[in-house]
Amino acid sequence: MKLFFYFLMSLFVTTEISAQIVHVHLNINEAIPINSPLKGIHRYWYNDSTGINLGGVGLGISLDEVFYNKYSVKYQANFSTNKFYDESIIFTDIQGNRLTEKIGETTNINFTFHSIVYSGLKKEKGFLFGIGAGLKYHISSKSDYGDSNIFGLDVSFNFDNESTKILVLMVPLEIRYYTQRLNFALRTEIDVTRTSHLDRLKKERFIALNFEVGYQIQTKKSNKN
Amino acid sequence: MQKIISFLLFFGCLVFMSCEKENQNNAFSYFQISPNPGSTVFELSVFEDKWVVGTPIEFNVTDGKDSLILEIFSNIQIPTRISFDLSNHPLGFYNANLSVNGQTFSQKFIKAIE
Repeated sequence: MKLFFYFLMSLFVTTEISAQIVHVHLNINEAIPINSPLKGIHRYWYNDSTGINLGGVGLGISLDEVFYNKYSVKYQANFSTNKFYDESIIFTDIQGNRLTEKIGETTNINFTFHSIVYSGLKKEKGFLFGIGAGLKYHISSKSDYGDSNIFGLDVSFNFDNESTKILVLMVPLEIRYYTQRLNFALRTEIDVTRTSHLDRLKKERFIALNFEVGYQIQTKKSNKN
Repeated sequence: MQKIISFLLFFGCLVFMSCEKENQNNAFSYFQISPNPGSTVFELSVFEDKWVVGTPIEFNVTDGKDSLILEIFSNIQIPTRISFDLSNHPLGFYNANLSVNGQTFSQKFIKAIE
C-alpha cells in the first residue's frame, strides 16, 4: 500500500514543465467483477421489454504536462456511471417457501482521479502507452431488484448499496491514439484495494474497461521552449 | 527495454494479486431467510440435514456497511427457526451470516417495507 502511495505522489512532483494541454473527455465503460462469482458483467446495452438499457458512460477533464521535453504525465478527473449484475437474492414467502430468485442490477456513480505516465511525447499524431495510479469513489450506488407486490403493497426493491461506498486505489493502463485536436484512448482501470465493506467480499475487485474520446481545448507552452 | 520489462513485471504482479481466487460458499442450500423481502420480523431457517443436531451455530445480521446489527448463538435443532426483528432499522439490504464449524455462509436479504 505504501509503495502505491509513493508511486501516486511521485506523479505529482512538478519539475520543469515545458507544455500543458487540457482535454475534455467522453467515455463508455464496462465493469468486470473479479473474485466475485455471484456478480456478472452487464452487457453494454440490450433491448428488453423496457427499451435500451445503456451501460456505463462518463465525462472528464484532463491536464497533460510535458517535463523537460522528455516525459509526459496526464492528470484526469472523471465522473462516470458503471453497471454490473449483482448477486442474486432468493425471494421467500412468510412460510419459507421459495418464490423466485432475482438478480439485481447495480448502478454506481463514480468519481475517479488518476495520473498516467506516458512512454513518449505527443507529436502531431501517434500512439502513447502509459501506466499510472488513481483513486475511485462511488458517490452513489443503487441496486435494483425490480418490483413486486408484498403484503398487498407494490414495492420497488431499489435501494442504496452502502457496501460499495469505499475509496479504492486503482492502476490505470492506457493506450492512446492522438491527432492534433482529438484523442482516442482505451484504458483499463484495475482495482488494487478492496471494493466492498463486506468482509465476505474482501477479495472482490473490478476491472473497468473504458473507451474514451478526448478533445483538446487549451494548450500552453513554456517560453523556455 | 529494462524499463518496459520492469513495468510489465509490476503490472503482472498487480493482475496476479487482483485475480487471487476467492472461495465463496453457496449459502442458499444451508439456510434461508423468510419472508424475503420482508417488513420488520424475519425468520432464519437452517437446513438441518447439513449438520448434526446440537452443533453450535453463530448467526449475525449486518447492514450494507457490514456493521453488526444483531448476533445470536444457538444449536442446530429440528427444526431450527430463529426470529429476529429489524423494526428499528432502515429499509434496504442486509446480510445474514451463519457460522458453523468454522465455515461462514452469507445471504443478502431485503427489508422492503416498514
